[in-house]
Amino acid sequence: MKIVSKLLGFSLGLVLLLLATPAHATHFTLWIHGRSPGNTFNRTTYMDFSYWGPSSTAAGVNKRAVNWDGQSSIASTNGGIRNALDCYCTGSNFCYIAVHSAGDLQIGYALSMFGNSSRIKRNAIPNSSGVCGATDGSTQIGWNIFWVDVASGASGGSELANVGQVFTGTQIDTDLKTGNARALYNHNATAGITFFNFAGASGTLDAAILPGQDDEAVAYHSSGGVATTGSFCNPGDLFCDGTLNLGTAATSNGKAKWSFHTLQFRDDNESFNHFTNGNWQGIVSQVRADIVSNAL
Amino acid sequence: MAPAKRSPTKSSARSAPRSAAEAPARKRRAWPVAVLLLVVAGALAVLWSRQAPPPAVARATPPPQPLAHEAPGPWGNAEPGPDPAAAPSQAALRVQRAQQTLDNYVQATKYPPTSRPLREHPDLIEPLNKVDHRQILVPGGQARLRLRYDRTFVVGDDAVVIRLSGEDSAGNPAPCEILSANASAAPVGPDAGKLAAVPLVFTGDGPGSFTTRFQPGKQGFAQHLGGIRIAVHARVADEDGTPSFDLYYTPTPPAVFTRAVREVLDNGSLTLNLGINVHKAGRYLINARVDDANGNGFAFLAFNDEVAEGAQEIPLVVFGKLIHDGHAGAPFKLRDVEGFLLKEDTDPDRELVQPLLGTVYTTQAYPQSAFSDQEWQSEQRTRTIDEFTRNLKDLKQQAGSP
Repeated sequence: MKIVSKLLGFSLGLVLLLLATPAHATHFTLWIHGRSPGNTFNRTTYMDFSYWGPSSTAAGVNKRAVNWDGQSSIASTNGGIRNALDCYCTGSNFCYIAVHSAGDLQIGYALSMFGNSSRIKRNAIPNSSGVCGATDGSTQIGWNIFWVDVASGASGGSELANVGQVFTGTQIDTDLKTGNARALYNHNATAGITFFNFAGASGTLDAAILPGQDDEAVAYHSSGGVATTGSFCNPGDLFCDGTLNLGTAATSNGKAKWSFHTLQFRDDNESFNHFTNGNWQGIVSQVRADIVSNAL
Repeated sequence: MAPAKRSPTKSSARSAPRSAAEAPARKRRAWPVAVLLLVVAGALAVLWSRQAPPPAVARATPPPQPLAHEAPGPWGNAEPGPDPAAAPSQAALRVQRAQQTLDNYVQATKYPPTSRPLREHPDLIEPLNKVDHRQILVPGGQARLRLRYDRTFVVGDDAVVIRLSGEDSAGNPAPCEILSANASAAPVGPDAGKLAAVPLVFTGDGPGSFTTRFQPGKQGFAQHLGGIRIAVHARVADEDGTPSFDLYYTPTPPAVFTRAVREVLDNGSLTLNLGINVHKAGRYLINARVDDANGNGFAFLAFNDEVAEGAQEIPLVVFGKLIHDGHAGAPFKLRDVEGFLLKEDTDPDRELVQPLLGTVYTTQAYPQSAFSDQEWQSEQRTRTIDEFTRNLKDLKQQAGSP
């Protein structure tokens, strides 16, 4: 019994020593979807990837699906997004974020309005309501986020909502009007987090409504993170206001991007449209590839 | 937007790999040897997790090989692919991304979120969210209606000036006719569908150009908080359609700026405490711009915090390093202050404060030496940089690079 006692003491000491050294953070990958009226996605388990594709598909370390109703306004549904950020991106946990379309408005609104607010540190274990338990009751300022990957971001709005065609009939369609999307929050305030934009250009169906290059739902002015509307295109395309340049550079006609937004992918071959087709397709495929490579 | 042609699949909650954080606690028996074994096992588990960056969970799904179209970003997919022999490895690309992430963050946070370069806000250099936008009238058509309005946000008795004109697809002036126009409550919020549409009269102010001055408080919206939709039935050349856009209106502001400013030089930064009488307590977001002695705008100030009811001050900080880096000479001019009370998780989500347009206050003159050139520091910044640095180090180790 004496030996057991000594071993126990040694082991406890070892545990305490190990706990005293800095721990590696646990990383999560959060996926925030776009407009999807009438969806029945599970909003509490963070495991329902129906919007995107098979959940068995690799999509970053510890992937989680942050689902919302896809039709109400950003302002009225953003609490659910912030709740997920509290769950997985506080305390010792750090997050990679991937968003699609109106999901860009969701993360942008959260970071701009609340990115420097006090958050309760939570334990990444959601209860039946999707709320995670507090760790020790302490708080921190802002969320722990590496970066945000944006597939066809709609935070600059879509002309499809302006003209009331295709995007009409739900509250989110009002937010998606270009003027409203751009006035909803300060897009330059990201709490220092970099947004990597991925812009698709396989647009034909609604090209007559969307200016410049588009992916059938969102034009380059938005998906490219440009701080003003306009018709922006791939290099060499005529009849556009300017070329959408890669990185943080302004368009060729001098229109700046929002700060901390960098164009990571431009669809010069016009290969990627807006839609996932329930299988991580379209421009989302490019973001998924980036996530798989870098969200570790 | 909606994932077209999507065939929803079942949630993978049961089959998805679970993280260490989710692993259910195992029952333990209460006899000493079992406790000892568990303690030793726990110690080994902790030791193992420390030696295995990133966490074991991260390796549950090994990253696949790069897809055929992958290339180091930023990239365009029509650009010539890199020479495979010279292409960096996947591990090197990860290091590159992690380094970029760290560098971006360090650079982005050398000033506090409350005091930023004005040039960082290309769409907010001027207040009121002015809009100049071209809208097609018919899908596939060539005509455009140019919409210009001098403010998106309207408070109390303020008015917005709306100008419309016609253009062809190349931006040349085109014949324009306003057939009708009206204002109604936007289809979001408690007043949606309750207020009768109010006709708007546009008058010609030049060839193919029309203007109206819309004052919501005097034209049927005196009790309406939220969006107001302006719909215009217009004809440009031989195409006609009804584009619409929204303004945002607050009839009674929740707080009023007093215009009084008390300046305090503290820790190498200049704080401009702006007086405000708060009728409704809550989280206020206030923005302002600052020009230097030469009239060059160099700072965008932001306040975002809870404010109690009553006579209060909003601290607007001109950060010392921002003054240094911008080579900004005092006295400074505080101008164009605007803001709102943020209402969480509801729509409409804000009540606007009447903006203070133009120069609000001119500070005293200070020598450059009065201001600190030190970067901003905070627990938030340190925490983030520490983790980004640790992540970079881990990836470098995996890549075998120094």
